[in-house]
Amino acid sequence: MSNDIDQTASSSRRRFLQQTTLAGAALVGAAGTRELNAQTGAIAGTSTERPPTTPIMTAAAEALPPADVQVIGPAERSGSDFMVDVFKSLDFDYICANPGSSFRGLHESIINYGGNQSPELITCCHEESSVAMGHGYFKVEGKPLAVMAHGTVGLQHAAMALYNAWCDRVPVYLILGNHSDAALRRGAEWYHGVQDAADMVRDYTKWDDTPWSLTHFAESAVRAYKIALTPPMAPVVLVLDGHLQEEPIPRDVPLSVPKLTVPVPPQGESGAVEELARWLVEAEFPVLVADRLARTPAGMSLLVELAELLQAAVIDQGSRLNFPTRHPLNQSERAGAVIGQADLIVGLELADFWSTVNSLRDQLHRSARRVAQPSAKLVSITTGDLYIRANYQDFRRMQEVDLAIAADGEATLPVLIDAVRRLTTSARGRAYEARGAALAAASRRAAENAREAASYAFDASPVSTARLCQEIWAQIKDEDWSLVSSYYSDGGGWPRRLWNFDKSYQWLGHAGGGGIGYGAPASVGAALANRRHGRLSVAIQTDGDLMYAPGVLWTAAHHRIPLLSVMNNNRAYHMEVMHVQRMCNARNRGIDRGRIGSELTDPNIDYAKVAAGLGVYSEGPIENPADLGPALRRAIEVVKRGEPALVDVVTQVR
Amino acid sequence: MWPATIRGTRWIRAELHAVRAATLALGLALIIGLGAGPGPARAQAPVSGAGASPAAAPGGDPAAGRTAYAQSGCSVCHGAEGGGTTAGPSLTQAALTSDAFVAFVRRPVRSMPAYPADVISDRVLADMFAYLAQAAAAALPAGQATRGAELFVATGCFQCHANQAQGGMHGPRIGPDPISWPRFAWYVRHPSATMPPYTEEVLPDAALRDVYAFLEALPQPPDPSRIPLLAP
Repeated sequence: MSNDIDQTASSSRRRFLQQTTLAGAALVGAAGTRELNAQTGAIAGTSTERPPTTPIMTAAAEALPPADVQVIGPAERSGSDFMVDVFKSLDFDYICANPGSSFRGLHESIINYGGNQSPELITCCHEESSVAMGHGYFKVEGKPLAVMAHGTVGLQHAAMALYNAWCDRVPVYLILGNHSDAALRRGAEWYHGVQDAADMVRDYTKWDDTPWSLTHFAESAVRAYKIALTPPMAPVVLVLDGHLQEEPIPRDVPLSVPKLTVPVPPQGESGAVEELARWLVEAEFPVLVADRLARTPAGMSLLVELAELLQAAVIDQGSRLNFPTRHPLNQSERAGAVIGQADLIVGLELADFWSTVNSLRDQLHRSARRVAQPSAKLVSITTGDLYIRANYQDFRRMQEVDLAIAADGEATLPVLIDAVRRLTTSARGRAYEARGAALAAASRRAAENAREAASYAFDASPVSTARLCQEIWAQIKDEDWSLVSSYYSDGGGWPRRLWNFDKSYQWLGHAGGGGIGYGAPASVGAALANRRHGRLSVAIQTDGDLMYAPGVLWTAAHHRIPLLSVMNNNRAYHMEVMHVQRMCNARNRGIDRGRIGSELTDPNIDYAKVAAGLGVYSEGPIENPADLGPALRRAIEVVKRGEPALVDVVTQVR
Repeated sequence: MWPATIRGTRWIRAELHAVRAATLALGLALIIGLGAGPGPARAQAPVSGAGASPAAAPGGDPAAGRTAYAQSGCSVCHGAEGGGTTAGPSLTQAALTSDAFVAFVRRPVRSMPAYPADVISDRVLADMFAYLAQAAAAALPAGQATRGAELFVATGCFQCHANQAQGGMHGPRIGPDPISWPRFAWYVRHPSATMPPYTEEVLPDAALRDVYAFLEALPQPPDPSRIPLLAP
């Protein structure tokens, strides 16, 4: 949020054009230089002769008052109007921001020149919320949101959420305002101005640029979109100079909007794919492991096709919904068992292949062991092999594999399926069937075990996380629902064990980088995407996560974003308590003080009141599980009217 | 792996066994002390409480077993009286039947050396088992479930195993029907995964027995098939 102390609140705008024409013409000669501003050359590109638009003047010349004070002329428009033309060509539905003076020109163009439609401005209360909303929105809609952030301070707020998106390989289109020209900065712009604005996040963004002219802007704006959407996808940053946004330009300047063509993702090399197909056909117990595989809804269908063709075990690691939870070949609940049994493991867009086949023991002396058979062949298909950065370590430990196909997993599956089908003999087909039958039986047993596990403490108070999830499931299972929350909690883990997920938008994975505070805004962003499809969005919202930036609940209320948030309120950052306990015990000091610094008690936070204060219908705190069903029904009625609602449930720690 | 210093040497069998066992004690500890770990499924036959372990050896002579134990090199890893060392688990807490005990000694998994019948006879093993069972019975403390419920929270067990010990993503269910007291007590002191080890200094045996009593006293859950919210 800007702390702008702009004191030049004037409804009129200085008409620099004529001023700078005169001053510039005089001073170019006086200064003895022939330098021309890059913007001028780029915009002009025609016979129209224009002087430098950034004033070049002496101190005495700077002190000259303008000839008059006027608004923009009828034959002119602002640079930011053209920027809106470009952004509309990229088909952004929404642009999230809290206001900042460094992009005031663009802000005004969006709401007036652009009609506040495509993109519509979404008012946020924290840049981290803006970016995380874009993160969640993309996972439902497959389209990036635009986000505006203010100079240095806005980007600093946005940085953690940007890192999450980077780690999750999700494109976010971040537009950053900045005043590059020191000769033009107002007081606050010195705090908010920076030489190289994108530098702070360059290690975890895929590309950035700082255009010097509107032509440069147009090309970079379209290029940024293409780069962000090309797998491996990632955030991009476009730094827009304040002066470039605000300065009038003649309406007849022939600026063009470049055509957008998003590149086709790369498919695996044909020889390597053929080799993998042979291995798959010959394997006695192949296992397909998917993490960020399903870029589109087609990804899940393709994986189902390949798995059914081979009758092979599938483990869905859950960064996307890659495989239906109740499919008989889904062995995610018994991942350790099938990994140990496998003679061939195919990793499909895995964020962490090493941990898939190895186990790390987190004790005072850390040790690791391979859990896959030593003889098991390992194959990776991932765009992660196409692009890697040095500083941040999200690329994980290197796993030795037998075949590494540097390509997009989803794009490669069709040719892999064709090859497997072609190579499968009738004898192998019979072997597949026997394998599939055994897997289906194991899958049924795993489902029964999950239901039995959920029955323990089912009537307890505080409410068990399994009970919490099943009370929600009872209310939504006959709706077109979408679970929009992250799963860094047991409350978030139960649904995949017990619910029937078979549509890509029903499960959206996690934050990517593990930065807490993602859950609430990503849920609101995902619910915004679901709104146009009429889906019922549900979030199992953890308490610690919401406390990072609860203002996003107001954004949901303000923009009438229908979302049911059910608090998994266990009154602590329990994940961290466990870590502190490990240290307490490793140092043999006992853990009776281990909760200090991690609990959110004394006073207990009343999330129903927090939500109510932000304009959201709310109920709770609920401690008796019998009260939960009726409260959820009432809240869903509100959500179906097009508004957010929150039910605070006091839960067990797990 | 074998220490480099003993590769290719011609040690006598007992010494060899002792060194191998001491060197590779971790795998042994996992096998005897922990078994399969706390299984979540009630379908498994529940291992009852402390009173059932070790099972009575038919016809074994505890006094003869004590002598045989001392003379057979077992104490190198498992302690002078079978109470365990850092190199090997307690055998007075090992929840094995006599048949399983014999089977393991004959064909141990992982690192423990095998003792065939021509080295230690079935008769001697039965005596040893009787001795160890006697020691286990003597070591059994009583616990108070009410106090255990408080300790379950105060010592942080619930952080991973949940308020009712029903388990979750970060720890398995450990009650009701806990694993046997000997296995439980061993694991708390020597966890093999990410659970922090609890020494007797921070969680005395008596307190641990209270926690165990709490786990034993937990109510059985309702039948999942009778819970409409859990219908498939």
